[in-house]
Amino acid sequence: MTLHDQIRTALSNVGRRKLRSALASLGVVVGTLTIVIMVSLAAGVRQQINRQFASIGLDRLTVDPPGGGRGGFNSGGFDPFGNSARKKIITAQDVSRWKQLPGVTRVSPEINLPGSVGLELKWNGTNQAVRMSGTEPMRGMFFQAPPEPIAGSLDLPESGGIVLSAGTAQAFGVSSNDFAGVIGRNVEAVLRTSRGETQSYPLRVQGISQDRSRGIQVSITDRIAMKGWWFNSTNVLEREGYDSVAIRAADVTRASALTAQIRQEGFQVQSLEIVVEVANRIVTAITVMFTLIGSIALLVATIGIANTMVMAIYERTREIGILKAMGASRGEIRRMFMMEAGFIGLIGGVIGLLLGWLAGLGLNQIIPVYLRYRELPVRGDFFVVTLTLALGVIVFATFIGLVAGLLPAQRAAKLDPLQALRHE
Amino acid sequence: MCFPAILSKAPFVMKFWRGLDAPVLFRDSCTINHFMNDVLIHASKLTRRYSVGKSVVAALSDVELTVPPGEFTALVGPSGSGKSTLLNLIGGLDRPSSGEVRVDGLSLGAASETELVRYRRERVGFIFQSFNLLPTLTARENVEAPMMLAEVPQRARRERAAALLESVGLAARMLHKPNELSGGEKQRVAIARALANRPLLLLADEPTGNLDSKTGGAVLDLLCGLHEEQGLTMIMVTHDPEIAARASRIIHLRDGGIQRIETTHLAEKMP
Repeated sequence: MTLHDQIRTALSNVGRRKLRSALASLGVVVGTLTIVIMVSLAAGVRQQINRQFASIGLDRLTVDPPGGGRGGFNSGGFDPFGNSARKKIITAQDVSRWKQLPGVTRVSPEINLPGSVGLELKWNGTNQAVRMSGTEPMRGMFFQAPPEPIAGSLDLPESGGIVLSAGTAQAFGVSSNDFAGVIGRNVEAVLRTSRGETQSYPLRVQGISQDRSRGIQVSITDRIAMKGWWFNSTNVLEREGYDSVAIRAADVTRASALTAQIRQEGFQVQSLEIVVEVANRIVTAITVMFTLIGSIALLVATIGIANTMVMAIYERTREIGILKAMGASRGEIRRMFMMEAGFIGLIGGVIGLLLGWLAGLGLNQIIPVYLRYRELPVRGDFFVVTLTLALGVIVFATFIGLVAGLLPAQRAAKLDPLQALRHE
Repeated sequence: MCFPAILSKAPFVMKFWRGLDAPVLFRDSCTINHFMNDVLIHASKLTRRYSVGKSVVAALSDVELTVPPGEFTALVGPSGSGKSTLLNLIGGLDRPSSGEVRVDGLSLGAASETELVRYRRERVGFIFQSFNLLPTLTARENVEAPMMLAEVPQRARRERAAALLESVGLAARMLHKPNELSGGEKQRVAIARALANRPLLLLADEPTGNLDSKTGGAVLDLLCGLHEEQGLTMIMVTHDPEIAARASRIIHLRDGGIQRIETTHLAEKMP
């Protein structure tokens, strides 16, 4: 029997019992659908991550002192005796040296206050609790573009400057129309210990950022002073150095060169490139997990196909006997049923792929509506069916069918022709 | 049968088997072999035992039989006498428990599975009492099926199937499925199918058993015509003495052995 004839025979046999073939392939449809949706979601998320990171720029890197965390009591910067855990500190000299490096457009040293610091903003006689933010938007804002100024400028002078978030300004009763009028006003940042001691720092408002949380950004010199007062130390910068330094490079290539160079100097350097890599690794792990779940569904589908094939062979025992009497070999009978099972898998795979693809297309339309409603700045497709996925899933579904057909087909092939002919 | 007689008949037989456009299906050595020996089928000490529960039943024991090519043999006997068993052994559907049956030089007991499949496909045509057509295929597709197994190209097999169906008088029923055909028509399709791969040997197991006497007679006429006009070797199992009488030799079986062999007057008419 030629291959062409075998394929034709198998196809027409699958078509003979349409409902049963359809039910048998339903399991494959479900399994394939699961895999397609999960893997296309993972592919979409991966694309999304890359796009989002690119939009906030891969041209930035963060330098941390080795051994210590982000500074402050509770973040691991000190050992139990109050000594610095940092093996190497970021000095003012380092910062000014980095400023001179070619391709560096901006260097922003950061000082973080411990989480336990009570920070308030005093303005027009009222106090409001606020949170201190770094000057460079980077950490914890992976899916957000950098904040834009609503009024004034976000660039802080070395000392005496403050940037308010829109949320903070509104907390003091400033309506969004009056933001421009706030620029240049004098405010006070107040540190308060749990024992009630306070220290205030006069600052001048430089600008208002669109950030809706209650945050402030303060000039570096004032932050050093705040940390010094908090830790009761006059030389906090000399002892601890900066808690981190954000460096902006001219371009991505320059950023990765700087990453390598500063790491060579013995500092910990984090660039978004690494974060992207880690994120992608996580997505890969999730993809593998989801694919496994879908594969389990497909493996369960083999039971359905195998059952269908066993039934079909029982039903067609006499036909098998006739074919054997006409001179069909065991191999031909086996291949005939294997192909039938393979086709059931293939059809299920194709249907599952189409359904998964359509579901993804639909969700790609619905999700942005929701995101716009929630005002999340995420755009683009979440479900992406790649060619590899499409081909892979079809091949896998067919393979599953063939595996399911293996034993039943073997049974059919081994039937004794005489007994098969006597079968009613 | 004498040697010159066979020689005079050989070209005609060859023509029927092969046709002009037929693919080469037979080994030449074997074809020559049985003409030389004047024997197509030879069984010696042929025995087939079945185990029924714990006991062993001999359906056929120590049968000695020789069939020359071109003969029409009838196997008769009561049910359980072993006639179907003998037919199945000759047809390669079953294997002997002991003894030997050689057809056209091939020892069916010792043959490999592959050889046996080839033998069934290329040298034997089966006709069954219950027709055994493939229910989902049309009459023409049923006739094409053995040729499909023999890898005859689609066009050639379609043409041959049409020609064969025409020769059994079913040109108009070619695209009908078995359940749309009468019993007589079904058996004609089965006959056409049996002839599809130009067999050496036609084996029929009660071919008229499920037919009324009129259509049965017509089917029998068709089979006898094949034997007489085209010199096809034919073995037919029957329990009807009237049908058996149309054979050139009648082998009476009883209890798994040959009781007697009867040569009819038709044998004398043979060349």
